Amino acid sequence: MATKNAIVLGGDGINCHRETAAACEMVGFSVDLLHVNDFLQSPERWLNRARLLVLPGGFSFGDELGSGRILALKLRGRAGSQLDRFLDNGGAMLGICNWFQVLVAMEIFGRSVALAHNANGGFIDRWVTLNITGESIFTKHLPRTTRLELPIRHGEGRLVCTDDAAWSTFRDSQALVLSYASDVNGSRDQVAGLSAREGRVLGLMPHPEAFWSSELHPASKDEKLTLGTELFAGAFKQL
Amino acid sequence: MISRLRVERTVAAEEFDAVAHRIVQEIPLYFPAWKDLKVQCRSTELFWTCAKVPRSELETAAKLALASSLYVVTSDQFTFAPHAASAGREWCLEKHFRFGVTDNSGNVLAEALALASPTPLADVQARSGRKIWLCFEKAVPRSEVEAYASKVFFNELIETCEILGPDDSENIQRKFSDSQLAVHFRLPSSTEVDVETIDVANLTVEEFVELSRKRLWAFSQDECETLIRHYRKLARAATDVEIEVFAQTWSEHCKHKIFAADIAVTNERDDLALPERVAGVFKTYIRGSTEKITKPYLRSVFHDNAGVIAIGNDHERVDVAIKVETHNSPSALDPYGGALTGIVGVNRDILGVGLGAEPIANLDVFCVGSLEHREELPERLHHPRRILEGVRSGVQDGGNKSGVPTVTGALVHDRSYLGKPLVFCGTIGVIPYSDQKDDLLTKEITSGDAIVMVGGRIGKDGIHGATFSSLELNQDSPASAVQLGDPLTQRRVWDFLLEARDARLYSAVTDNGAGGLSSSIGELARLCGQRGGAKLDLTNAKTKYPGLQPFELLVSESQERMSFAVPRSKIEEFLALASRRGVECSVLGTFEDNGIFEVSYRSQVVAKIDLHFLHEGCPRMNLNARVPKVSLAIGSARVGAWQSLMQERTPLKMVEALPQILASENVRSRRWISEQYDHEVGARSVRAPYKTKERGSPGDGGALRISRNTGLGVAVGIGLAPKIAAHDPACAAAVAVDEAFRNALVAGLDPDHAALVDNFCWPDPLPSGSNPDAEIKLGALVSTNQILHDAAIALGAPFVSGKDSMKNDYRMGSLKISVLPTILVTAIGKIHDVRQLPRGFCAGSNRSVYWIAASDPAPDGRGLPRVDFSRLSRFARAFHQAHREGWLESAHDVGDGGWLVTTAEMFFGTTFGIQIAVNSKQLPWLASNRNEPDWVGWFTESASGFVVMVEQKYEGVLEKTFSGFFVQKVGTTDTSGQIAVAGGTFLIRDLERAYGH
Repeated sequence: MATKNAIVLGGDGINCHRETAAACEMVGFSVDLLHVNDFLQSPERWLNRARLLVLPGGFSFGDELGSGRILALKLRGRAGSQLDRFLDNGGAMLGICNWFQVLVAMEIFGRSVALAHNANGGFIDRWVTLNITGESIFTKHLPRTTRLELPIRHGEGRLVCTDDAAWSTFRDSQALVLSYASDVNGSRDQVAGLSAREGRVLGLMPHPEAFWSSELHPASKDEKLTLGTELFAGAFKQL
Repeated sequence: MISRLRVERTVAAEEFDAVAHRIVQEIPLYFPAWKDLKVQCRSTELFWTCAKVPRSELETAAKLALASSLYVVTSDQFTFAPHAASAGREWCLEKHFRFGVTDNSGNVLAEALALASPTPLADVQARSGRKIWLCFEKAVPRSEVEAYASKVFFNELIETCEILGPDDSENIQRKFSDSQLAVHFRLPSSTEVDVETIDVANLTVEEFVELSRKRLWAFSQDECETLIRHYRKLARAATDVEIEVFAQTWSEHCKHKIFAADIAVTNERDDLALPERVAGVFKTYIRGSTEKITKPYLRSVFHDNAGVIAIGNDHERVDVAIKVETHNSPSALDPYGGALTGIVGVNRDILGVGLGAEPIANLDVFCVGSLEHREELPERLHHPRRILEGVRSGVQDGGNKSGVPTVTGALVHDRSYLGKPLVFCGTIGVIPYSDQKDDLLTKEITSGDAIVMVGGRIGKDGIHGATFSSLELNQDSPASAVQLGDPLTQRRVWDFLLEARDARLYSAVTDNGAGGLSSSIGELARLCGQRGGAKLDLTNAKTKYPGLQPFELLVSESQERMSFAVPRSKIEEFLALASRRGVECSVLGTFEDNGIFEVSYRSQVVAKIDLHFLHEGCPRMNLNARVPKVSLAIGSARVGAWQSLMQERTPLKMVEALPQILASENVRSRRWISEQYDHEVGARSVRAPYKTKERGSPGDGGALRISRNTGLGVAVGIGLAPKIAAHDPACAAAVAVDEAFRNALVAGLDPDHAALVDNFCWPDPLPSGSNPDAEIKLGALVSTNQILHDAAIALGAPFVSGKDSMKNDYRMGSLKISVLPTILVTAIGKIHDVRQLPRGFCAGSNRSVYWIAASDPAPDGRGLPRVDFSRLSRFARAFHQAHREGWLESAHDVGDGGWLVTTAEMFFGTTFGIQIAVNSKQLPWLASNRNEPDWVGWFTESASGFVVMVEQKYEGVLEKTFSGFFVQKVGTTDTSGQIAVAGGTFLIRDLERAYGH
């Protein structure tokens, strides 16, 4: 079987790149772990050999001026069209936490969506329960009844949509892929993850790479819980 | 031509303004005078930018960088100008950093403007600030708004604030004039190079002492004499640069002179054996005990930036580094900046150990005054509530933004911390293990290797931090000692460093902390060849702004800098990699093997110091210590958290006591803090701070999974007991070790593979007119060290690193506030398999609940806990065996609040319960004495205790395993959701609410 390549980007304050790369490897991907500056030297070259671009969490540019915004500015100018082509050609993209914020700032999900400060105004690290409420290649293999338990770790994760029509379209097109079982940060309809491009792009605030082994869960080590790495496994199967 | 622009960014009116929301919510907490006043608030981010481009281009770039659908971005327009309808009720508070203070938003905006501009931007600068608009339900006087601003909104040491009230419309217009905008980019007038000569040889000791006080050098009289003799021998004058280097290197902060002093001990205690003379407490006790414990896993102890132990199994090995620092003085002046630089600073210690370790976890401990403190505070002191929020958010930004999880911590409230809060910041790191010659723990510098400073730029910030922290806090404490950190720059340095390390692009590295380049290069210089040496040329050092004098370049403690020794053959590759990673480097001369530390600036030699004299010439102190007799009065009330309830002398019943103790300051939940820290980035954290799905049950130590292939891990626990130090410092030391060790044991520590770290925060033990009981404080230091020594040997757990901070006093006129002698102990070691750790909480019904302890749980005659380390040592091995055999289902160490509180905590977040069926016939210490309320026994804070739960079939094996120790079954878990105990039945839900969940 041909190897399936995933690119994982680090640098500029991203800090979950190691464990995210490890999660990709766990499910079978062979990984190019790159500094974003190296990637931007020749994005085409790297993207040509990859099926999945994984964008990990962290604090790009220290979250100054709004989380994800400056990295988005950097990417848009220097790799925007290459990313479009990559997605047009069937590539997939997973943006976690800070990189979800980057993707939102790059308007991958349109202009009406934003990630704002949590309703309580502070940073939250807490494990949450997620329901699958939409479709993506990352979740396709999981039954809709699956309840995922993952940590959220963000200060700006409140999903906002300023356009009701656009929101309906998201819902109708199954783009509201993951929802919090209870309200944790004030997100619209408790949505935690959004998809685009027929489910080949998934952006989410919770950290799937963080739950790669059962003992990392704060409550239990023996319940039959779905690991976060299942999202990576889903992409591996579909791509 | 230069264009300048002021930009305001406000959350759009229809969107939720979370920052403003939080400001309003916090008003009752931080400014009670307004707690009943209705306030509306909006918050606005301010930016000032300038660049050599037409104004329209600058404006376009700024809008591109700042705009989003959530915000309204305006340039040259004042949002929320005072409104006629609410005349007299509206205020705008506008703040920005003082010149030279690290401005992360401003720096990122400058980078963003360059990214956003289609044409290259020349001379781009940006600064940031914040404005809040407050509208009250009724008019408030300016004086109140001013008080709010200075108590809550800004810190005058690092920021300036302008308050615009109803009558200030003219001032608002003025804000957009070009001359007003220019103010934000004013550079300090660049001055001539000025190297002062100081004719030390011809000064009297008194004159030198006086000069030293004035210039914040903090030399003692002996040191002044030594320097005078030295320069007489050299027969030349000194330069100010040289004296600054001596001041840094010989500071208490860097040299640990009190820990090296010869001490004559007068011991009046007959229950504690102490020698009559101690030739250095560090050498005798700390290193002394480690030398007596031979452990094969010790890799690097005491000589590098952190202690290093190896952990491993048949498949893999890894080196684990640990360092715990304190940042008390900076945190007193600016809590946020002090704690932020504390945490990123100790991360740098880890990055600078060996050839560089990767930080994987932080721990933090805060000691502050009571949050309910109501009396007027002396000058320069912040309210404990503000201190706590500041240090908490500093650690939040320092840890979260660096990508280091905060895995354990503690918060202690005591009145003695009003003068100086204690802020302990610790970091654990990993280095690939190698037994080859190119071992990653060895720094070896060859003559000719380049000196390279990497990361942040040098400014005037942090000048004299090392010497300042060696002085008491008073009204003259310098603002330059305060700094803010820049986690982004440091994370870039960190990523670069590991890449450069793995490519073997350098031969040595160390961090720039206290003393700046003076200390980092002065230290690295010792590693070059036989005699050591360096030729440091400051000319090309990158600075934040022009106008720094050579001595400032040398001793500035500007953050985010590492110093490297780079071989000539690697320098190009090193610099090229740094440039690709967006990391700045300054090449500053070479290391030499000539025994001389030479510093030059613009071709002028400004310091030439004998390296051996610099490091070995500091005279040793001779001090006297006295350990007074402790009273062994029988029948004292036992020391514990319950005592905080008794201040108002209300006779409480059991039904009130338990919830009130759970709600008391030193017991209640810290979840509101730990949930604002990322405690699991890195995907290694096995034990969350609050466990169960409901995040109810508080955890003990931290556990990290080191290996993805096997369950190999690291456990870390902490212990401190300052309230006991008020009665007996020796006992406090024993309890601190005991608590740290138990904390780590519950987290899976193998007691045969453990190490300890000591952190002393002491009131000044040096004699002076204003410090009459210095000898007793030094006596406490000696007895504490004796206990640590004995404990380490008994447990077989050597000390591998430590730090001391010896001036934790505040003085203003005749008022003096000194901290309790505070020893923090950290225990760290190997976990065989993190997948098999006991839980901290009740896992189901029908579990047998036991109270077990290594030592007698009864308090001694003074009401203090008993600790017996030889028993704890044996007990710990039995405990670990139990956990490895897998039948020890749940365990929680007994801490503040005692046995009943600890037991209750294990039910938080669960639906289970227990009827506790023990009485004072079985456990005589449950009975109270005449100085205690009748329920006090339940809250006995015994040392060496655990509450454990096992399935009923394991009762026999448990009792056998711990036979010879204190073992008492107290009940069986059920599904009642309540705790029943003599004197009351409590719903777990109610207790949890009292606890703060």
